[in-house]
Amino acid sequence: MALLMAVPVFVLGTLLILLLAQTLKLMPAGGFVPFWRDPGQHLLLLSLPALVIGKGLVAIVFRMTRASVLDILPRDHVRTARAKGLAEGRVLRAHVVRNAFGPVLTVLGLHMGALLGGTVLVEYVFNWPGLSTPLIRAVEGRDYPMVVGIVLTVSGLFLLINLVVDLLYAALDPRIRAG
Amino acid sequence: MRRLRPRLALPALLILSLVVIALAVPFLGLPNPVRQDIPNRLTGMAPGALLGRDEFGRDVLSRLLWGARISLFIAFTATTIAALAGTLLGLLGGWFRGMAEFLSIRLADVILCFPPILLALLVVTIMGPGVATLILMLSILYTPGFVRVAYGEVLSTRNQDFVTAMTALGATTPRILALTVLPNIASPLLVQYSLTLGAAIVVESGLSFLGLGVVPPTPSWGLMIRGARATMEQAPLLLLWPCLALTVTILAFNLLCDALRDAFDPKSAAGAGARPKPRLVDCLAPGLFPSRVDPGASLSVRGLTVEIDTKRGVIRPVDDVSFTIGAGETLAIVGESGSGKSVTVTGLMGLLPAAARPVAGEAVFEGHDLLRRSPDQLRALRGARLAMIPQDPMSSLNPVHKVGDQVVEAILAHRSITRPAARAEALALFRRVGIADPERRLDAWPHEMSGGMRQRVMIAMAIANRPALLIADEPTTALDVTMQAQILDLLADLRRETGSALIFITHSLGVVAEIADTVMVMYAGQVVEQGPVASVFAAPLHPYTAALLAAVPQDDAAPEPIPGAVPPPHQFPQGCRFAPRCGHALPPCGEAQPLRQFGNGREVRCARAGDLRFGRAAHDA
Ligand code: SF4
Repeated sequence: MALLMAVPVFVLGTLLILLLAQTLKLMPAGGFVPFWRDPGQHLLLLSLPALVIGKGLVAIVFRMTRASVLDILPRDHVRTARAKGLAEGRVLRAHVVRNAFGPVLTVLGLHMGALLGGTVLVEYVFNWPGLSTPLIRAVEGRDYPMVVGIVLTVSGLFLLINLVVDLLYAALDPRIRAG
Repeated sequence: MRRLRPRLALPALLILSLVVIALAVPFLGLPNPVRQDIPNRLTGMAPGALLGRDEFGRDVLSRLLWGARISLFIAFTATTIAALAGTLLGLLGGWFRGMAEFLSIRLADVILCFPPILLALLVVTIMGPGVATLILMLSILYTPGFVRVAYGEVLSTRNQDFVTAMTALGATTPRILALTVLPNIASPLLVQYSLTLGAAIVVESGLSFLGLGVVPPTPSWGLMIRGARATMEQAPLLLLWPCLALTVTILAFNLLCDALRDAFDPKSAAGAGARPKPRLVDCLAPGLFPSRVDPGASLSVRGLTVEIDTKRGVIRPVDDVSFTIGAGETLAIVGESGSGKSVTVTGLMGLLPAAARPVAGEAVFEGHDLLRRSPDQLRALRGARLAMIPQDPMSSLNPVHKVGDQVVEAILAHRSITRPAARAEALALFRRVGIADPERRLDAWPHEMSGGMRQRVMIAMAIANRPALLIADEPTTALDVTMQAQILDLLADLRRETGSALIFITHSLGVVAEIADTVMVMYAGQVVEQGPVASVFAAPLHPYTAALLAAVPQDDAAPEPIPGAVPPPHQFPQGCRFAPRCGHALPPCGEAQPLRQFGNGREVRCARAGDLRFGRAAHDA
């Protein structure tokens, strides 16, 4: 887990290409095929970049869940649950994990920012024709309006994701729904 | 701080050696990292080029080490700038509040919300790539993190007693900040610093990899990976070395950060608890040597002692506590905060935190010793034969479940009936504890109810399985006066109806007379006096009991508060623990006092018991 957290996404991506595409020849090294032309190939090409980007999230979610659970564990209502004589598994499921979920979700939303940033690197590594190629070209060419445009687009996406997260959070926690 | 463990030493050593290498690179006599040697491009390991040569024939080992120098230089410089600027802004914002707070914290929030790589790319667009750009950009990127940490810590530190005291003594603000706040926030800042170093290296190498960070031909790990990608087929090792170097470096910083965090945070370092060992004789010949138990008693506790591992050593918040409570009786445990009342009962319920454990004594409940039951056996008793009403109904209900469901859950934990049947029972319980409109309330969320209502829910939950012993831990402290009276009446009624025994914990003697049969006064982890309520109240034997009684507001006498406070467990006096606050102390009080029988079921722990007389003549008149 610690190792997984330490590997930067572009290093992981590059090494995976080296291993799976170059050495084992299991997959193509990257590229893009439209979904409607070859769904299988599209998903195959999508899988590696998606996995690599997801790696950052795995680590974050792991950390946050742990911290959140440690924060909930000493709360009074957990003691109440134990005082009721609930089995430990049930205490954890219904009274710890359920409560710990909200903060995890929020942090997830906030880290979407880093994630969206990470896609720039990963798209570059896997030759995925997303926003990253024009972005990098624009930065290289000091094309200021283009860079600002792309940054604004991604920021908008980021805001949208966080809006969805807030709505989900409200669904999870009745206190927010009321307020 | 505690001694450095290997967890801290290993990453620290690794980072130290990296720094030393980075500093020493120019003196190692390595080949020039930027000198090209095209005829020898991509050659493997050879003398003169230990790790081979890259796509321009440059020496890979040399580039790797020079790359470390560049990466660490950028990371350390940027992080230090960010730490200084961020800490300063956070200190100012936290200390002066108002405008300074608004500017520094809002600004930090805005930057924190922005995807970091995008921000970085914006800066590169304006300034062009290069080391200076990287440092500037990373400093901006990581300042908010430090602002947040410093700000949060200042807020919590500035209200602490010693800071208030210094302010009152007229110390100037910079002096207070430098002397008290800085040392207090040093450890979280150090954690943040190590975290940021790792993050800075990730962003720097990522940008260099995109060709937007360090400008070639300057060696950098990110650039090396970028270059080696093109020749991946011919020379896969070229790719491997910088990837490895980068990953190991970041790993070392992350591990250091984790270890620092754990070393500074006492919460995560609590030791695991152990239960008292079963008596050997009980294992060999159960029942042959029965412990001293009152046969008719619902609960009989003998010599209960609880220890907690803390940073300052092992403390004993509960020391040799004994009491007996018969079926249907009510025992009041009285004492100020910190006297060990709550720890005593949480110990009996088996709900002590992991660092605390009962180390001696026994607690026989319905024929079994609670302290030596397995966790599963205890669980089967808890909420069924043995139930608890907590102190704070606000936090004791789970905010994300409906209150009815939480009561149903308590019923289903111990009885195999259907959910609808349990729900019907919950409804009846709600009615019994006086919750208005119970059908609708079953589906209410905790935050929709008042404190009194929530405490009624907690009581409904506690009596759901008709317990033989109900433990109420200061059940009315968090409520207003009217509510208190109602809840007390409810408890008294319930006890009469169900015939269950009740342990009632309180720090005020006012309610004891109304509800309890016997009273046990605790001070600093020990029982100092116990006996029937009427006789203890009429003629207390211990100065502490007398002081508690005098502190109860009466119509005709002003309450006299007890000067001083209960000492914390690591500072309990050697002799009588009440001596520092006792107005009757004599030389013999310096000895540890045993609990002595005093006839009439009364016990007292005082050298001068019997010789001192505390009447309640004034009150009785
Ligand atoms: S032993 Fe002495 S100091 Fe302690 S309560 Fe009794 S009189 Fe006071």
